[in-house]
Amino acid sequence: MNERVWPLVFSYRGLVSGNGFSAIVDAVCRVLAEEQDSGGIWMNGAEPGGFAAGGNDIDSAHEALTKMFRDILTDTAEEAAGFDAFNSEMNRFFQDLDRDVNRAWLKAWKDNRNGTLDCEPLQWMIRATGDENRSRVRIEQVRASGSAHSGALEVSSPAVERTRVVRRRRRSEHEFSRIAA
Amino acid sequence: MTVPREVKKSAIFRMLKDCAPESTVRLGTHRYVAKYNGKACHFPKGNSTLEVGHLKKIVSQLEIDLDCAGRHFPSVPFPAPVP
Repeated sequence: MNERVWPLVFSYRGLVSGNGFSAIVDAVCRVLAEEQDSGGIWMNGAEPGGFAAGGNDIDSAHEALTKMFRDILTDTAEEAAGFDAFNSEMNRFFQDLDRDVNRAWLKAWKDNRNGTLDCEPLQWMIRATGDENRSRVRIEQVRASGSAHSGALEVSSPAVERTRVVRRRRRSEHEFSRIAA
Repeated sequence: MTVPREVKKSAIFRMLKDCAPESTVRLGTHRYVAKYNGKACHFPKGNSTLEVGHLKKIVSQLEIDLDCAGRHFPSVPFPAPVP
């Protein structure tokens, strides 16, 4: 049985190339982090709900989740006939929420707002607030080709708004973790 | 009962065939995607096993009957729906 859960916000911004197009994907996803009996961390997509990944700690789980997300993007771009099909498929992916995990995410978020969630292990995370907690994706077609990626995570609660940046993680400028607040 | 950390993909595919007969599983360049009932779940290509968390995610995301999934994986504690 899982010990603790935390409502995170996973952010990703990167360039992806497909059949005759390149696009910048700017995405924010609700992810529920779950402490495992084994000591590892499992990151469970809530909205969108169709992906998950785990690791021995929060860092490795985040890396695995970023890789999973990037793989989904890359495959979806390769499989799409063109930009419109890619855009449509990615929007469909983002609308596909995991109802149970999303309910658990919302409960954890409310617990964090009420100060009843133990966020001690994630004190270093940047706090995401308000609109930052909402899942969204923006896809913009570009002419350049190539590839780039980034990923980020946050835990959610308004009470922690005052503790803005606690610690920035090592990674690219777009790659960080936040706790939904 | 000890909860396994990994499960065989072939066992997951058997469970899908039994519990979600209309489901489809497709292999992309980097990942699998399972679809059922208008929903989709992506999981890694990797080797012949998957972390048990991916199995739980497939069952949760595709809203597969928990009793049926439990019969295939009796040692896996599938979480009850959140009220």
